[in-house]
Amino acid sequence: MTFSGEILAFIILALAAILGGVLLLNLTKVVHMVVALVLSFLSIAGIFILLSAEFVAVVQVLIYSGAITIIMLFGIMLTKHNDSEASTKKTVGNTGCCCLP
Amino acid sequence: MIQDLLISEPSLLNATIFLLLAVLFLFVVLGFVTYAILSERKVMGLMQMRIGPNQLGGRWGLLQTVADVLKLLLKEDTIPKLADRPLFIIAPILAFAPSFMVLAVLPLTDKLQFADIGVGLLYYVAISGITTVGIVTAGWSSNNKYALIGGMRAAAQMISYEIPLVMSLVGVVLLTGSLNLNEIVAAQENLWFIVLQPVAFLIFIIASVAELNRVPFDLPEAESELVAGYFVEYSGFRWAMFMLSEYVYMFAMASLTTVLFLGGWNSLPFLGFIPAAVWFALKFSAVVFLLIWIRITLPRLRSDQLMEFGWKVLLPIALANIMVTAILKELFPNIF
Repeated sequence: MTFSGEILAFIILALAAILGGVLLLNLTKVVHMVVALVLSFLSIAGIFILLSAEFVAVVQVLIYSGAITIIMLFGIMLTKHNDSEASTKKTVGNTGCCCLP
Repeated sequence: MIQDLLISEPSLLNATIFLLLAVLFLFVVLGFVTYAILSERKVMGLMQMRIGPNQLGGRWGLLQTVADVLKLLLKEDTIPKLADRPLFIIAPILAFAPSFMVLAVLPLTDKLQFADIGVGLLYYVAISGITTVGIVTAGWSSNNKYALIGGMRAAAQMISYEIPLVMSLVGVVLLTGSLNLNEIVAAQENLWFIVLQPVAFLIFIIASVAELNRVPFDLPEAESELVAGYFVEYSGFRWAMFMLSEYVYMFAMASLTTVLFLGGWNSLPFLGFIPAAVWFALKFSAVVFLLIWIRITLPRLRSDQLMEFGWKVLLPIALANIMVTAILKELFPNIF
């Protein structure tokens, strides 16, 4: 396998997609997570373009950019964004208690 | 020239040439934005029987915008203490980058185009949707109620009006049989689509004004209700990026209208001796003038009227237009 621009582009896009996924799991604020999701989806669209599937790439961006905005609005409206850390800890504590017999 | 570059072997030289061309194009677009703002203020002034900017740069105020931009660059860059810092910094970039990306597929003349991809029309609509994410991010991260309301309104409006916008274009795509912008222009060599698709043109113009967030659909940045909407807390260069993206979208939308409905660079009959670039520039300027004219003529809609108009009026008409176009194309294959 020779090193070419295509491989370089693939590595960058793949790393960005994985980075977006990891950030999505590890960030604490909902809106930050949604922005990480945007990064992940856009990188996947880039990988589709590398595979010469332009239509799929464009439709991916078209569908998900609208969907992500709606997710972001839900994230803003349906969660309390000030107590992100506290609420996570509380949930963990609650499940811990539930696991006890 | 660009066609040769597009089909040539990818190499480092190739990439460098494209980078330089893109930078050159960025400066051309910046020049357009500078004088679009000036001409908007001038035309608005004349329509309101005022004079408009006339102090700086001679009788027509030619350097007014340049001075405004210089002032903006020298202003202090403030970030509110309670703002969400990383998102506050990312948001202007997320809003501006797509506006410049969409310019790549627009065929300005038969020789001047940066990318000739098969799904050019869908690419434009898809990429321009990313700006909404930037605007909502800006509204939320500012930690200000006016900014948040502006961001919410922007999301609702831009998603609702994207649907009639795309649906109105289906008629054009049906007639051409292609999503490629070059082929759409080639199909209009004899008859422009504004003649064959007048309803689609009207819907497209209305929906594009809404997508551009301009009066009468400027709810996300309604000055009299929301101070400045989603960018209240921004200042200096970051604020300039939001304004810049708005005017770059105006450039892109006017070019797209020209390409889709006004025949692109095609000339009127017997006037073919005038160069293609001049034809494009004339049609493009006419569309920009129309946008300014709409802005100065109409008052702002209310939020519920905006939603009702989009979903109950524009969308059914656009769907009916698709049906009628398909039937006519079956019945009279010679004309359509």
